[in-house]
Amino acid sequence: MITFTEVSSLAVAVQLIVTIFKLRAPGMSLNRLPVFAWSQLVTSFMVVFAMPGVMIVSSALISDRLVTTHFFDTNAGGDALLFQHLFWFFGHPEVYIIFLPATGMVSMIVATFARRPIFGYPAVVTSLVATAFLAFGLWVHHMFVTGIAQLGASFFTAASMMVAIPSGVQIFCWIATLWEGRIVYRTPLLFCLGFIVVFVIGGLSGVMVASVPIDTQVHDTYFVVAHFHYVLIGGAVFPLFGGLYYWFPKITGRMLSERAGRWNFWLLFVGFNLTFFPMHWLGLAGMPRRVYTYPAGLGWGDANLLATIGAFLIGVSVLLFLVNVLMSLRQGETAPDNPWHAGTLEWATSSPPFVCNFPEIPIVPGPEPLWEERGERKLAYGLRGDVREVLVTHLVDATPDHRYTFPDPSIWPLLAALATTALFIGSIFTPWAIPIGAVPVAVTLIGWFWPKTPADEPEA
Amino acid sequence: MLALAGCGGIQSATNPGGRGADAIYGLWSVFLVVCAVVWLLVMAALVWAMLRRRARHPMALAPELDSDPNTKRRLRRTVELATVATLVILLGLTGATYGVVSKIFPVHPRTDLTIELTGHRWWWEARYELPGTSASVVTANEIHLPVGADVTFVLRSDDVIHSLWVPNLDGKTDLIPGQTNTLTVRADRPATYRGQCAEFCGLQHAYMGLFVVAESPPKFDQWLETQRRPAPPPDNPDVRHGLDVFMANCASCHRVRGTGATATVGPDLTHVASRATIAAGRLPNTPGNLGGWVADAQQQKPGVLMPPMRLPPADLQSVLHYLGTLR
Amino acid sequence: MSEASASIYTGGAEDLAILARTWARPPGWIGWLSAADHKSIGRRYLVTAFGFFCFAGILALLMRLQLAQPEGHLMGPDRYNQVFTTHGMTMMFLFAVPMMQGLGIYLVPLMVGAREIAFPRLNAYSYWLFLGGGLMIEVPFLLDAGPDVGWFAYVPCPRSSIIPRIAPMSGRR
Repeated sequence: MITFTEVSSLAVAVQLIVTIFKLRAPGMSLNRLPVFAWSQLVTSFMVVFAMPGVMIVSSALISDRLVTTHFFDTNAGGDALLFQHLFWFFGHPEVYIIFLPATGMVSMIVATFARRPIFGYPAVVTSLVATAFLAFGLWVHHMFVTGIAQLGASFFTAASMMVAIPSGVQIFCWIATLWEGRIVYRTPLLFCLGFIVVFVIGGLSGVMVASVPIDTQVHDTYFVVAHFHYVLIGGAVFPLFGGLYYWFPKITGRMLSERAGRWNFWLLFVGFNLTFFPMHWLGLAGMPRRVYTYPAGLGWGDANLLATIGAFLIGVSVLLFLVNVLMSLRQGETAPDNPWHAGTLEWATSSPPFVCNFPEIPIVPGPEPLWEERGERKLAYGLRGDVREVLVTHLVDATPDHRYTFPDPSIWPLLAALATTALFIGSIFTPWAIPIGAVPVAVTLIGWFWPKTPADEPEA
Repeated sequence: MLALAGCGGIQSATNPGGRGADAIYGLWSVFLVVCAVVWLLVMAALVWAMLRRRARHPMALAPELDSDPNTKRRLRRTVELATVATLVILLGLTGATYGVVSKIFPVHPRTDLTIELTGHRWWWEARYELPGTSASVVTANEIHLPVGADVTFVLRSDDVIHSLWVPNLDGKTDLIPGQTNTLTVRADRPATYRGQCAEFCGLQHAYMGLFVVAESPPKFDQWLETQRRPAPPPDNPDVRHGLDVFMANCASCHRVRGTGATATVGPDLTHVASRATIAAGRLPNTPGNLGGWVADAQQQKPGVLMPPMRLPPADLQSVLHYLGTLR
Repeated sequence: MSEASASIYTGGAEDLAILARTWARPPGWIGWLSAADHKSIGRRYLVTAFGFFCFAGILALLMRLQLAQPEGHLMGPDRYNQVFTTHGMTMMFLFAVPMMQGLGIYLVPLMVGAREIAFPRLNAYSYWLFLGGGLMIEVPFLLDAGPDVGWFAYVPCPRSSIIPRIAPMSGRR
């Protein structure tokens, strides 16, 4: 059923790639692209290469079940491990798909609150790209105990160790930025600092599990549970909260409460470590994952109780965030266009942004346009106001290429999605759902792409 | 012997009692020290960076776009140095890993004793290969090993993927349908260790335990000799009635060598009374527990294949007496 | 020709009104369902994904309650397996990735100075598909027939119950 969300992710990846490649404002050559956009670009390419793995695996499974193929049926010569290879070929990049955008947010937030551009922009971007490549050479480290050949495993040990290097480079660059900067401590930055503290632990426990012998002990235990919550909550949820505090004013036009934000952060930080740090020990002390209970007498009770208490602190922290959001939407302080005096273009428009973002297309003088424009902001004119016209620019140096008219909103995408959903649900029950379900999908797609009559189309 | 209370450490990677676990624990200790030092260094750098220059005036502070070239160069060199240090540390740890790998996964492992271990939902079937004899020793959920011997487990599964993990002895290895894996362990210290299935295998994954009893070679030989014998014939009418009840109700799934019960759906019960626990380590093997288990196994392990046996109390008692003779 | 040149946006208040009207979403609930602009869709992604995050977080708390002490009996194994499977799938597929992509959808066009994301209708389609897929995972769970084989769903399927189940990958029951 995951195929659903994968189709959706793939579509979004394509949109983001094209947006970043072809719709940048004039002057924003690739070396001026904000790090967050870089992270989204790299991530989107990873989505394009990783998602087919899981789509193949789910299609093979469903055809095993519906039309009696034997991809994974070991009684008929199929291979149970094939599933794991395909799954992790997707599953491992997946965690970097989650993690890289988070690092992009950290780069943006650190730069803003250190009051200077990110240190080592080329190194940070190269690290993103390097991580993406390495991420596709790691999947077997999820399978070290399946009896695979040790020579092969050794390769994946080395690759898994090496992926620590680009992450390390990014961390060094953030610390260098902070070191050089004059730091303003605000909630978004707190989350990023908490991220560094926690994520380094997760990275180092990752180095431990990359080692085959250690992995044979901790694989599928609470040690691994601790590790991946340190890298996923530590590596993605902390930056995400930072990012939400940072961009909330832009999205809603209201500021979030700073005081509640600090409570939000500290509760999360303490609760998180209380929950997951003891799990490292639990794993070494023999507690496997995915057990619904465990016998008394193995000495696991106290650490588990501690973890439960911590989990409720996390719960309180998230609840506080929700309260903060609701209070802010009702009676929050109105946000100025650029509340953090940040340097990137999203702060150049109103908060919340104008309906088409930028009435005038900004011309980009450098990587931090709002910090680098001395005096007057340069703007480009010439797009039509009566149709949805956008400016398409060249891929590398973002010089204007041509104007392009975007489609109007339409109900057809919703109908097409409903038709697709019906097809997928039907395919659980019968293979015939695919040919029959394709008909409504085709109908909705025809509606979607129905050309406008010349009368609707304003003169170009 | 296997009283669970107060024996923390019998299922722990930090309390090695075998060659593999020992080597891995040593490697892990190295990793732990190195990683702790790295973390402390990174945190020191972070705290220094945080305290160095703090802005007095909040957000309106004009950004600094340029910096002193000397500072910039120093900073860049520091970052480069940190990166190279990371690389060196990682190479060192990788090297250490390879060293231990070649030690615990030899290309041609020596084998003194082979045990075929098959994973079932949710119990372990162990078959001892005894060279030069046609007799077989089959037991379940409690494996005896001679200390100091290289014991090779031949790992198979007949349903879903399981994973053998006795952390005090060695790392884990999966039992995969359609595939045969092996794991060679050596226990160095006589003790009873607990292990558990470590790959999610369904409802009772949590209670798929096993015990490994590492004992001196003479004691092991004695145990093996006992296990090799078929079940003794009943020696009084009550036990004989118990056998009849067993044959009528239990023999369709269980085997007791020396009787007509030959089925292999459930664990071999030829020497069930010699085991310390029942139901894959779920319960201590007491008559009360065994009676409860026979009467309604679903109470203890919901989802288990063993159906509730609706026996008259007298029959149940007789069966328990009979099972009690299977030492 | 004169009409066309008059419609070029040059920055006046009147032009701004035209521009706002051009890019506005159609009125009414049909308009709401038709929305394809990256800010609306991005916001929907963020709100929906955060909703899934809270839901999966509650599942995490249930698991922690179950495991707070040995031999916990808040849930049986059947329910617990559904809970951890749904927690993992929701966090990975319905929270983390869509949340990051939602932020990308909202912020990337703003950051690169674009008026709209490329392929806006595809954007709307992907949101609705994400929502549909999400409900397909959560609704069976709420009906106590959720997947219970782990988010990784290794084969052979360690299906633990005779009740039909929707498995994460295949829909295998």
